[in-house]
This record gives sequence, structure tokens and C-alpha cells, in this order.
Amino acid sequence: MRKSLHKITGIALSAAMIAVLAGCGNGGGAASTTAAPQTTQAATTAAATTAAATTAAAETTAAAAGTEAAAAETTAPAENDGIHFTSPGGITYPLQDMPTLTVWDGNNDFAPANVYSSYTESPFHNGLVERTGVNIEWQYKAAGANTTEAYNLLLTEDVLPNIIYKESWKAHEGQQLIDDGVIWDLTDYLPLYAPDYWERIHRPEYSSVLKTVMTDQGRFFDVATFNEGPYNDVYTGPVIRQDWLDECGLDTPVTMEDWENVLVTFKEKYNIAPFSFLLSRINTGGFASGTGAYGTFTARWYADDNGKVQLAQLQPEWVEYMEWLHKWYEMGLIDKDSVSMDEKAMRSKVLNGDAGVSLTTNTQLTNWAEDAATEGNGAKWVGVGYPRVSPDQPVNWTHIRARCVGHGGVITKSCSEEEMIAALKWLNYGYTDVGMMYWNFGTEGVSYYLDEEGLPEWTDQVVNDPDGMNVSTQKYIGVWGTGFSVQTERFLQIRYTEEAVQAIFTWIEDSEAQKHFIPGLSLLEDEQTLYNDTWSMISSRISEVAVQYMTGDLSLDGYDAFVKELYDMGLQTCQDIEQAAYDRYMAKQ
Amino acid sequence: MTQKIALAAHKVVRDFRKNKYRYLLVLPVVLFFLIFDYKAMYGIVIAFQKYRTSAGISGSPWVGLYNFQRFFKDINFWRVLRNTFTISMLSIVFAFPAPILLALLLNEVRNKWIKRTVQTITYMPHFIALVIVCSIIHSFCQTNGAINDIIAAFGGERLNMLSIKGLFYPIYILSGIWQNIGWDSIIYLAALSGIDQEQYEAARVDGAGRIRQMISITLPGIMPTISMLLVLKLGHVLSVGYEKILLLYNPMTYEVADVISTYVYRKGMIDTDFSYATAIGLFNSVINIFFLLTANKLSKKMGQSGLF
Repeated sequence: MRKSLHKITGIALSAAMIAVLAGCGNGGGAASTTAAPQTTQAATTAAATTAAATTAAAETTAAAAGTEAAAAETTAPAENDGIHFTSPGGITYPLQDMPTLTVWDGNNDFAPANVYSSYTESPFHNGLVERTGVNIEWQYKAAGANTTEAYNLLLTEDVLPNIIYKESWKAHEGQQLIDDGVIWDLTDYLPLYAPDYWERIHRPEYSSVLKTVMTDQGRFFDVATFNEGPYNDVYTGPVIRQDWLDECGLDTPVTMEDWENVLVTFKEKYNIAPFSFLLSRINTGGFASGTGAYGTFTARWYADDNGKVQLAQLQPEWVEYMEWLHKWYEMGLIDKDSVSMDEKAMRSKVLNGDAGVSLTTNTQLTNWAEDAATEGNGAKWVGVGYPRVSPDQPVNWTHIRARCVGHGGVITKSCSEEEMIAALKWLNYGYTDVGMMYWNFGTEGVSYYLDEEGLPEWTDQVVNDPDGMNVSTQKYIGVWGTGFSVQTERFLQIRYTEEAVQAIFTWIEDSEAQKHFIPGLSLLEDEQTLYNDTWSMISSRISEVAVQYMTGDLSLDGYDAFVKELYDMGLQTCQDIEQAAYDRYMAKQ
Repeated sequence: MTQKIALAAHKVVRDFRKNKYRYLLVLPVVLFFLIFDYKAMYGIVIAFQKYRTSAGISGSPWVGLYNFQRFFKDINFWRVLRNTFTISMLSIVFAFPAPILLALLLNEVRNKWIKRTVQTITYMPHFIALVIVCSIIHSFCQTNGAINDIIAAFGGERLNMLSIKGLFYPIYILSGIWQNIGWDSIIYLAALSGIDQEQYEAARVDGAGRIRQMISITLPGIMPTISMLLVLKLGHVLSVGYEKILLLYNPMTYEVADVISTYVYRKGMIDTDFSYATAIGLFNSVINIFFLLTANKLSKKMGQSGLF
């Protein structure tokens, strides 16, 4: 009897414990995934009928309604209020009689500033409604949820939002969605209903954008958001304590030998391992350019001077680069915590003066400067140019991203044709000159003014906002991450602190990286299967082994065997696929 | 035959009438499992498909055992399998007995106040979120962390302990024991309180010392609980949780730390190769069930109670 009683308590208790544990484990995930889409379709469909006849709104009404329309046309430019205008492409804003559209934002790039509880309170969002004449119901993914995960969950919903916005669209992904009948094929509609967007992506300076958004079948599946110029291409690079450099009487380092000299001096003088970084930051560009290599630990394809696709890790320059890193690691110049640190740990090292050289982003550089000012420790972090093989040579490789990283919005089949056209006209706004100003700088006289040279500057209201610049800019503008618009160079240049702005100028100086950079390519269906199977194995193997070359856990003597291992895993197949995809990419126009 | 069925049906109805509130009580739990565990099981079919979210389960093409073949040919297959087994076995050997030991020791403490204080203190780490625990581990193991301060004080060299392969298992297991020892001991303490005190008195009269009493009375008394928990534990032998490993590993320790669940996470969530990840997960579950059944059988054979 007693024994069976034990048994019962035992089972009950363990069952309870399991239930509790299971609850703990699943709670967060379940909550975050269900919270995302709350589609209320009613409003959209109701409004759709009224919008049916407005496809070519401006022209027809002008012709038919005589005096009234003529008056409207003359008043529009005369008012010059930055709100009423007809774009060069022939779309008149604000649009009339538009349906309400739902937009799902998988990146929370269009989230209102955190001082507002909802987008209905946000000046930017309200201003956009006023200027475009389109009511938008924004849906955001739950904070902290993974974008890819949230997006895949969204696709399983019965009714999709009208516009789905997320990062890293690949052209083959878009083509697949068109073929599956999930989204609209926009190829025939873009020139008619998003003429200003269409015109902009066909400008020669945005040829890479056009190549990225066009599928191999020559179709267009999204309205992509992209960056204006070289200044937006780079946001990570080498940084150094300028005050230490001055204290030691050293010049700004250029070659690897210079850098070694600086590191050795810092180590002796300040008794630390001065070169401290996060793997995620060194991986993108690192000091590869110091030996003419094209990547650090992460497997990286690049295009050589002949347009041939090469793997950075197979080049002799890369081996030389690893030798440098290993040597520095052995000499105690590289911080051993670098392989396992996170952003917070890095920041506290910087604050405590445990680092003298690093690689970081312009945003972090701003944070570090703020920390130093608060602490009053006199640390002065500045950006330095990427290392060079010799002072008179250009920089072959830096951290780099594509003009169009793949952010964009697709229009789903939950839209009728009229709604799809309305959505295109709404999306087109950010690509008109007037709309671009609004997305980038907000409202003239409120958030920005034009200086003597006609360049936008923030008003005092933005600069002196008690919530800080991060929040105050977000109140009025939409390209904080990226927008349904073009992120301008000017925006970044007035957005960050002086040091951060200067840092980017040093990082892009003499850079040829864009020439070698290969963006995310579009693969054919049979290629995808082959590539996905082998490439993920190969790339994870490379990043694992490469770090150990630096730490010395693996010797570079075994490099040839390692290369052979990669080929045995199917590297050649991957390279052929990548080359074929790159050729198709370059052939697009 | 029909009579038998009718009789059984009658029994069920009668039992239901008699215990209707108990049935009502258990209903939410049954529903929970039906909705979140059984209904979700339907998703297993994507292990045999080349699944695309835009096409859905009904629209994705079938590929048979292709995903399983991929896993067995995967260069990471043996590595993640080996690491999963190693971590599981290490935690069964070291982490499983720890709370039993603590419970036995606490049981010998006669001072109520000390006993309660120790219990409360050992429970506490259990309520710290895993992310926080791991960031504590990170800062302790850093070159300028507390452990290295001690090593340096004795003249040793400062190391980034999380980047050393040989130290990964000790760090993982010891921090696990620290976090869960108090909480896990609750169930043993509950079992201990159920042991008849008269047995101890009788043993003392017979001249048994404390150690003797522990071996001959206490341990047999809680043996059913121990064996049951061991069976449950063995049922999870291939399910090393991914969260903690994900938070602790880095490229330097992948070789010893990458386990099935972290691999599934990377494949499913990062590479969005849902079918492949599901196939690996399914393989994992099948092995787990095999272990659970074997352990259950063994436990019964050895005269202890099994789960079913």
C-alpha cells in the first residue's frame, strides 16, 4: 500500500514538473508567433468597390470635369505645400478615393518611435496618410521574433495582408511566390502605376538594384527599397583609440606592418591584448585587405578582375592573412575573448579601456563615444581606413553590402486588381523626389530645414528632443532602417555623430570592394536543391576551421588537406552553380 | 461477446457518473495535449516532403525518405550524434545523482532552520532565466572573469575558458548542477518524508548507525522515485536542450558542443530547411522512444516500478 502511494505521488509530482517545464519552454515562442498577424480584411474589401474606377484618376477627371479639375491642377503647384503635387511619372498626390491597405512589416522597420503606443499617434505615419491619401493598417511582427520564422508562419495564414514587407527577398523566391499564385506579378503594372519607382530603378547608377529585383525569367515581384550611394554601402570597419595613438606618438597605420607596430606598442604601454572584436564584425571585412584577401572566417564568394567567381578562403592571400592573425594571437595582441564575446561584453571592454583597436559599426561607434563622454575617461574612438597591401594601392576589400540588400514589399493575391494598383501608387510615393524627402527627412519646417547649400538639416526640435536623436528622428522619418523609398547619403551624414560620419568616409576611401562584391544571387530550382544541400555544410565547416587557424588549435600546415576536404564535400559544384547564377545576374538589363 | 462490450460500456458510464467532477478536472489537460501535441503531430508529414510554406503541406511535393538519407550522409551526422550522447550520458552520470545526494544530506540535518535556508538558497538559481545564467557563465569564464582572477592569483595563465574544447563539458554540466540541484531535490525530499519513521526506530534499536540506516532504509524507500525519474531521463537521452548550448558555444567549440537539437535549430530556423529539420527531429524522437521503452522494461525487470 505504502509503496503504491509513493508511486502515485511520484508520478503526480513528476507529471506536474514536466508540465511546468514544458510550459516554460514553449511559452515565449508560442506567444511571439501568434501575436503577429491580426488581419482585418473587412475594411479593405468594403473600400475596394469605390476605388474601382480610379485607376487613371487624375487625367480622366481633369478632362471630364472641366473647370473644377483645371482649378485643382493650377492650385496644386501654386500652393507648393509639399503635399499636393503631380509626380514626373504622372501620379497626382494625395491620391483620391483609396482603399485601406494592410501592410505586414517583418522587420519592424516602420514601427512608430517607442514613445508612441501605436502608429496612429506617430507624426510620420499620420503625415504619410495625409500626403498619400491612403490609410494603412500596419501590422508588426512581435518584438524579438525572428523575421524568417515570422514570415514563414504568416504564409500559412488563410488570408494574407495586402503588402508583405521583409528583408532579403531573393529573386527566385519571388518567382516561386508568383508561380504558387501567392503574389501579383508586377511586371506589367509597374511602368503604369509606379512610374517613378520604375524610372528610378532603371537609372544607370542603380543597375545593381535592377539586377537584384528582376527574376531570371525577367519578371518583377516586389517594390524594393534601396540605398542611394557609396556612403550607404559600408557601415563596419576598423576603429582605433586616437588618444592612445597620439599618446604613443604613432601615425595612423596603413599596412599590416604598421598595424602590428601599433598593436605591440599598445600592448606594452597599456598592458592589454589591444585588438578586441566580435566575430560577426571581423567576418564581414576584417583586415583581409591588408594582404589582398577577400574575407575572414565566413566563407565568401567574390568576383575577381575577370568576372570569375572565386572563394576567398582558397586564395594564397587568405592564407597569408590567417598567418598574420595567428601570429598576432600568439603574440597576445588579439584578445582571446574575441571568439566568444557578445556586443555587451565588447562594449564593457571598450568602456574599461581593455581594447585599443577593434572593428565595429558606425552605430556602435556612436555608443562608444557616448559611453566615453559619460564616463569621462578621455577615450576617443575614431574610424581608420582598411589596411592596405602598400600605401599607394587601393583597398581591394571592405565590409560591403549591396545597394539593394533585398528589402522590399510584395503585393499578395488578397488584393483585387484595383487594390493592387492602389498599393502600387501608394508605394510609388517614396520614389518621387517629394516623397523621398518626406521619407528621409520628414516635414520641412518641422523636422528639417534647408541650409544655404539647399541641403537638409535637422531642426532644433529634432536635435534637442529630450527623448534623444534616435527617437526624435524616428518620430518624423521612415528610412530609419530602410523605407518604401531610397535611403539617402545625406540622411546618414546628418544622422550620426561626427566621428561615426567621418568613420564611414575613411572606410570607403579608395575602396574597390563594390567591384568584387557578389550580392545574394537568384538560383534555378534544381540548383537550389544541390546548392542548399552542400553549401551550408561547406560554409559552416569553413567558418569553424578558419577561426582555429587564428587561435592555433589547427595548424595551417593542414591547409592543403582542408582544401581537399572541401572539394570532396562538393565545393566545385557550388562554385559552378554560383558562377552560372552570377553570369545570369550580370546578363540582366 | 456483445454482452462483454455492453458490460464494459456500462462500467464506463457508471464510472463517469461517479467521478464526473474528476473527469471535468482532467479535461483541460487532455485538451492541451490533444491540441498542442497530437494535432501538431500532423506536421511530421513534412519530413517526407520538400516543404515550402507558400505551397503548404497539401501542395508540397513528396520526396519519400530523401531527407533521412541526407541526414545519414551529412558530415555532421556522427558528430552531433556523438556529442548528444556524450552530453546526455555525462549529465546522467553526474547531474542525475546530485539532487539525490543533496536530498539525503538535507534529510540528515536535524536543525530545521539550517535545512530550510539551504533548501531556499539551492532552489534560487532555478528561477533565473537561462539567458541570464549563460551570460553569468560568460562573464565568469572571460579572461578577466572571476575564475581567471583566481587562476591568476595562483600564478596561472588567463584563458578564455569557453573557447577551450576540453572545458566545455565541465562548464556545461557543473553550471547545470548548480542551477537545478535544489529544484530537482524537491521530489526526493517529498519521497523521503513518506518513509515510515518506525523503521528507523527499529533499526536504531538493532544498533544501526546513520550510514547503515541510509543504505538500508532511506535509499530503498526512495528507490521507486529514483528509478522512475531515471526512466524519464533516459527517455530524453537524445534531447539535449538547444537553448543553453546555443548560448554557450562558439566556432571554437562546435566540434564538441554541436548537438542534434542545435543542428535542427540551425537547419530549420536559420536555413529554413523545414523538411530536413523535421526529419532529423523525427529520427531523434524515434531513438528517444526506443530508450524510454528499454529503460522502462529494465526497471520493471529489476523489480522497480515502471512508468507503464
